[in-house]
Amino acid sequence: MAVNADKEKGFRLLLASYKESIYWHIRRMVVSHADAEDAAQETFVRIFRNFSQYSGNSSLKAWIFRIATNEALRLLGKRKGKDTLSLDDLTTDPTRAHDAPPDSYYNDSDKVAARLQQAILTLPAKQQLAFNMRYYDEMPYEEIAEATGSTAASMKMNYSLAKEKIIKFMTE
Amino acid sequence: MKKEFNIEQEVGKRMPYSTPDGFFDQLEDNIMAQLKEEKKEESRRPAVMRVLRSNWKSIISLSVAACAAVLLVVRHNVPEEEAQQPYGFNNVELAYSNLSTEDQQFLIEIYSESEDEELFNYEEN
Repeated sequence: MAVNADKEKGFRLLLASYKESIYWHIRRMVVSHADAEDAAQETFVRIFRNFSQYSGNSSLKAWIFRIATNEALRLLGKRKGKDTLSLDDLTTDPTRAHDAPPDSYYNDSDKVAARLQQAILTLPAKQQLAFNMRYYDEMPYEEIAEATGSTAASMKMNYSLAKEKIIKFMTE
Repeated sequence: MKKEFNIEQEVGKRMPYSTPDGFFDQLEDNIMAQLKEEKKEESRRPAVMRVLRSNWKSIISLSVAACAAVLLVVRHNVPEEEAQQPYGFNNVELAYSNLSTEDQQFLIEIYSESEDEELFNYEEN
């Protein structure tokens, strides 16, 4: 009983710490609020179920973000009639910003902010993830690499490429 | 010369996305509720056994039929000399071991309960 109480308490602390950052990480990938909500909820349920599998070899944040990224990819895959998408499946597609069903939690009155998200969504998946996790979540490249199954050097390059493309997009 | 767009200065971390009021508190509640429900589902298994017991007559008929089917298969596949023997303990034990764990447990519970003595006087309708 004491162990169960600790597990729940520990999980609640984890949830309090990460719920917003995980939600927004997913939201930036899937755009739709309802989809992001579903994927975020599923992410934390999976974290709770599989916490014993966390070995402690990687950072906890990277492990959590990895699960969240996989849930977002699973959701994006469902939209295309697949079980999930891999990072390689997500190709540059400028229309992807409009894949998501419209909802009332998207407000493009802030034109510059809306255009930036469009720019991000046109990027290949690894560049998108590198940019989002570096820019919005301020994660070190080593953590981004753990979350994406890549290397720090690769993620640093992906971030640079992403930023270059975004600046070009915004300047056009 | 066109000025290069400065993402940090021009946009910062603003996004065109928003959430409903109280969303993050609700998210936390929904997650805990889902986990609680999953835990309840796991603990409901003994209740399933109670349902099984209340229908034991039809279930036992099916189990006996399943055992008989297994015995037929076993008998068909055993060496001829052994097949000539009346049903020995080994054959019953083999048939029993071919049942699922749940069926095995169920049979043990049914046959071991003293208030179910009528089982031995059970006659098909």
